[in-house]
Amino acid sequence: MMELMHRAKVRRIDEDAPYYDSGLMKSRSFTLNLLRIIGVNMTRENGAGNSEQGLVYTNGNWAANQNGINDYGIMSAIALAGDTGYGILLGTGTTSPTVSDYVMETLIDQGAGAGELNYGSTVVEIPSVDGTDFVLPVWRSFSNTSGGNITVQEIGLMVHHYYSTSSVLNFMIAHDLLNFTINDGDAATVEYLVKIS
Amino acid sequence: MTERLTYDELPEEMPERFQGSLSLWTRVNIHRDGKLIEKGKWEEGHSFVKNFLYTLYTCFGHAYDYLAVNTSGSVEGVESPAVNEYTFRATDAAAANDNYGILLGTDNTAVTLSDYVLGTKIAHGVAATQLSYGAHSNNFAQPDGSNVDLVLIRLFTNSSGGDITVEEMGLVCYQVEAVGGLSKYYLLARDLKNFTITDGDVAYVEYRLRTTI
Repeated sequence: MMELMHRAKVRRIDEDAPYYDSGLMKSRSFTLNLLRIIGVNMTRENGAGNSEQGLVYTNGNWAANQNGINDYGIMSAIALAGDTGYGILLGTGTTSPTVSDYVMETLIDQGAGAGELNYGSTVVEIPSVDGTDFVLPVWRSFSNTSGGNITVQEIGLMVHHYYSTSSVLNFMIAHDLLNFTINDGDAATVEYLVKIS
Repeated sequence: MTERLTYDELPEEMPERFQGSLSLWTRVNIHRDGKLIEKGKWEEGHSFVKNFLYTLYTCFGHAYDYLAVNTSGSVEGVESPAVNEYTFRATDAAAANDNYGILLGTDNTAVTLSDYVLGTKIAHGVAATQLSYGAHSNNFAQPDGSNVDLVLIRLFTNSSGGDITVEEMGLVCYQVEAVGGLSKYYLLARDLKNFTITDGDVAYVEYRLRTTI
């Protein structure tokens, strides 16, 4: 079994130690897109852009499901700083996740305006042994310079993935609810941890 | 250790520990003369090994790293897809190909995260102790209530002249390096099984990947 966990830590920007740590929490959240992508690569078939075979992207439409023949790769999560298209994203939605989720309910935008957060780059670490587990950490830092406190209520993992030989879109592969506040002037690190035991 | 579950049919409502997980299930059905004679139970897999996460890492990280251990025991570069490259490519293996896809073996050594090869693979063929490896049949992952299922099936025919007892199964993927064209095989999952394919019978061996929310 492969499990997905998540964790949020919040600290003052000028301090290393977090004053809030949610601890590792079990996600409930892999979506249809994840198995569709793994599936077409295992089977070396391409799926049509429909509900039976395709991937659902962030506007709710179906895209073709292309296996990996492109040099960008499949399921890339290494979004650059400021990119809210993919990687780990934060939002304020509160609706329970389902396997059919395809977009953040209410994405928190990149920026320093009211209600906005500064997105760092998403980091994917080399898998490593952790006790009896083997873990793949994916994390991203966020800072709040908006002038007000921001309460985060959803997180998602979006990946950058070719849906044809030359076209790329972002697809949600995990979605979770959580609840923590990043005070103005503070920073948060949010992690997804993929684990096998 | 958590008890491994078995089911006649996988339930729509999974136990809580499966929620938020990608679980792996195995089933073996035996056919004789075109008829189902033994319907197996769904058994919880033991079963992803390190190479599975290494492969996922190369996707998420768009990376190329010498991390994975191939089926010969060598540490190899595993990479995100490039031209002619297929990450996780496994169940397109053609009939008679026993290098990758769903493979069977006779070793019953306990599964570990560091496994990289079946203990004792059963070779393709019709000689003693060999099985005829068929092609795979697959589906596109489908949602079903709170679950999504990806079904991978391979047929194995015993024309060896004797009965063959299977004690392990595995899922092996195939990569061709974008530069150099070197073929590499990586074990993604391994499970212990115990069933016999009588001479003349056909086994339908199934892996099912299931996400549950």
